[in-house]
Amino acid sequence: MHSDARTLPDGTEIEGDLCIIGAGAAGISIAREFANTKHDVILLEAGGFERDPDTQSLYDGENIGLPYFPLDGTRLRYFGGTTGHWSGWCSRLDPIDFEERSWIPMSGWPFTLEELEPYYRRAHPLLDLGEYNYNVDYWSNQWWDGFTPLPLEDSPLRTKVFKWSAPTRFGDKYRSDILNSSNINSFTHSNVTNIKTKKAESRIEGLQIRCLNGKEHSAKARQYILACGGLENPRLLLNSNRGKSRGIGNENGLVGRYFMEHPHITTGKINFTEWPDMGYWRRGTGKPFGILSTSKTFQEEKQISNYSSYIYPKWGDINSTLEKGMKYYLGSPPEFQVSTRIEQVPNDKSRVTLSGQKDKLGVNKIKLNWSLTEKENRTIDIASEMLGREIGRLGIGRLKLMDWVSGEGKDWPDSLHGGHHHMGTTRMSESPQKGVVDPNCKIHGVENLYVAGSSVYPTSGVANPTLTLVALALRISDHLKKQLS
Amino acid sequence: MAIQPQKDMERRRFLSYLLLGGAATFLTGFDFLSQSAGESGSTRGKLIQEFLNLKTTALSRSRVLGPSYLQDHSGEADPNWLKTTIADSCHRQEMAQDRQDDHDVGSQIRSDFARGRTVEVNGWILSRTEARLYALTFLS
Repeated sequence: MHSDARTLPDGTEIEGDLCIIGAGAAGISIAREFANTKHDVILLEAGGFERDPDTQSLYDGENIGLPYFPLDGTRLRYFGGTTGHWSGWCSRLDPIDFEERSWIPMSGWPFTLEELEPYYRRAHPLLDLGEYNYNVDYWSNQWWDGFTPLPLEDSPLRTKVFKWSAPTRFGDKYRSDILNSSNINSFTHSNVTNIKTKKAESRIEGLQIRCLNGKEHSAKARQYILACGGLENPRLLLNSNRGKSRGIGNENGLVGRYFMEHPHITTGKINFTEWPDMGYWRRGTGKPFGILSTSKTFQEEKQISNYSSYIYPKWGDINSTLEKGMKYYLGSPPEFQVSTRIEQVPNDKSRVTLSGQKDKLGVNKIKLNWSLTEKENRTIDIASEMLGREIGRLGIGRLKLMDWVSGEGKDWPDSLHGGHHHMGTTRMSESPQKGVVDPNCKIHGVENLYVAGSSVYPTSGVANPTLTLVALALRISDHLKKQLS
Repeated sequence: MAIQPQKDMERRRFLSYLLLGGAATFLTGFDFLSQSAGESGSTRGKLIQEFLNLKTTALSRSRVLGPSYLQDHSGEADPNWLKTTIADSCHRQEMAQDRQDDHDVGSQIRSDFARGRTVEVNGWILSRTEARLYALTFLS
């Protein structure tokens, strides 16, 4: 069942067993898990089924750190969430990403890749990713769907397999599943503006819902899941400060801290002796492609964070494309750009805080201070130099580093950007001193509020976040099914 | 300090061709120097011919990379010293691999990369031998 909250009588009280706040990839994945079960599920979405500028403007905020995307453009506030404009890159996190690494402060997930493995497998069909296989040898032997990895024998480089999602637009693909489910009550244009608690109580009492047409409703459930994305999750927790003055889950001041992105930047160009085929051009649902990454041993030995680069021809304009194409057919590959993406090291200065400005619903906007440390710079230096050495050693070409990479005392160049990947702001840890949520993604010290999405990532690896956040959403669902039973 | 190799004049002249040819390798995609240069007289002739065909490109690039390398390594701005040093390193490589064939600049370059004997010249990560080849080409 679906209702537009703007059309409900003012002051409507909504009740259910489970209330999911946010109908993006995480929220929809969880709702589907409960579809046609005995549990009454409430799904609250701030936007409608189509994008609209008034609702989208509620995401407006201020960037006070490194240059970043406009905050009302880096995510989408409507049914389906940011899957409405994502590109569809998917991969698993690496085993090392889950480990506590002495050289990466605040690293370590409370579980391993093996724990998440069955959920990754279950997430695959949701994202239209085809066969669940991330083994590079397997894909290099597939004559039709495969690709040809670089010959990285005995190298600190490795090929990391990614897969193309459709990209699956959750709002389009799963809308009917949600709307036709007998036990899911979905409400669009339902902006949750406050999570209500009583002072010193550890249970959520209910939610305050506001519509842009001035109506106000409330929702009450046994369990709640916050699934609004890596910027909005901390915003709502910090704004819900009437019962708890610092906001919910923020006794240790961690909500909003440790914001992580995947720093993206061009680090060089490669002249290959032969045209490399990493599969990047054969886009198609479920098709694999490879990117270059560093081995676990190399990361440990050099004490750097995770690193990746994908390589693509620098085509330029159409004339240049034709020219380069001709050169290729005449025997010489074009110049390839090295587009690098690294793991940002958890850093408490990189954070989301509340701004003094309020949006149209009276909710404080956010300020984002995206900041990096010398550790990210060091990762790029060391890994890029190794990449150049390996390309030469393997006899497959030569690497030219961008000036800024080899410069001393360098600043980040203007070309640095993120990937619209908002992570870490309600991080997961067994300890309340180190995390906002526990290993089940329940907020420490609160009995009935969970967080779904990439905001719970303690570290980010180099994989795009969507596959992992859907896997985690399925894991939370399994946990909650037991709780609700 | 380089060890003076005992080579006859003809051999040295041929080596200088190979050295110059090595500078063209990564720019053109031709990997002819990775083959043994001493397999036969006809191979040798072919290599020289290929080098001559590629000479323009190699010389063009060496005009940029050669002086850049020498700017940071001014003590090496001596063609004779460069020739001797490169030849010596190739000889050592040959001895280390217990090879009976002729010099192979390609394998020396790959060995440089494997052992971390690399330099950055105008952003390019090159093997030291390769960078010296550019310098030598520029000075010649």
